[in-house]
Amino acid sequence: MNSKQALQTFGRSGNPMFSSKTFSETVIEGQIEQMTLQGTVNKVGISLLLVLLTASFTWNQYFLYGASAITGYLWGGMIVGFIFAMITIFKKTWAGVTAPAYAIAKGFALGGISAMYEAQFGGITIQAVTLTFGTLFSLLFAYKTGIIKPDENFRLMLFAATFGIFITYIVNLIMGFFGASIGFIHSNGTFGILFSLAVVAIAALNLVLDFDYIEQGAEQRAPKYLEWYGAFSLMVTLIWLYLEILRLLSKIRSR
Amino acid sequence: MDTILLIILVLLIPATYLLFNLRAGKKQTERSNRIKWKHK
Repeated sequence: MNSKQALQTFGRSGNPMFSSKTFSETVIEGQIEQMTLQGTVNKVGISLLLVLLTASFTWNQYFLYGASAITGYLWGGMIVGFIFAMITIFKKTWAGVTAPAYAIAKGFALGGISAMYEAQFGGITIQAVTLTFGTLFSLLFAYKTGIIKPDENFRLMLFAATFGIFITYIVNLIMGFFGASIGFIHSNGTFGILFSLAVVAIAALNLVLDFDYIEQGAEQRAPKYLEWYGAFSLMVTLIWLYLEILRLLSKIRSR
Repeated sequence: MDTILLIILVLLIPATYLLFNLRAGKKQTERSNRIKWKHK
């Protein structure tokens, strides 16, 4: 073999593991593994099914054996879900494993919470689920048709509002350790309902940012694992929206 | 009431799936002030 043939076979490295084909094959594989809109939507569907599966388990446990039977699932689901959410945020490449795990864990918690609200206000769960999907559809339509256009100002205002709610909830949690709470968060008075309405609106508008992230990811041919990350982001917002709608409906019905 | 809501939900889910799979209109994608998300 002369030096030209050797160069063509093995590339510039003498190591046969690094032949000239190695990198071209990697590029071809890289082109196949790209984020698509349909792939992300399917992963959102899988996540929703996982939530439904574990939520129906806790739901049945509650109505068969009472509240004490689901305490572990409820708190376990919340804590494990939070841990998986943090891992997904800081290690996006693991989203293929941690995002479905987040959905499974959150399902246990959501099933328990929904069952407790349902026992108190019959029919509230189907109302909250329908309203959540109705909001998802309406905002998706508004986004796709360009009625709502998320720009930097939109993002900044939404971030400020979301952060404000987060701080309010954290303060409420800390006050809870001392037996106090911020009244309007749980109050069914006019101010309490207005607060819940505002939180629902902010949670709903966060969906628009998720749509934009997913749409651009597919446009820019982002890596495949970001399909799971996009689905995870949407699930976090959807679960938050569902819980806030549940709280709002319970306030209205308890008046 | 619950049955009506269930019917609405059953219609909403496939409609959302189909709408989600459509690409956003040019009015949305070709704006100059669009947020530039970093995908990495």
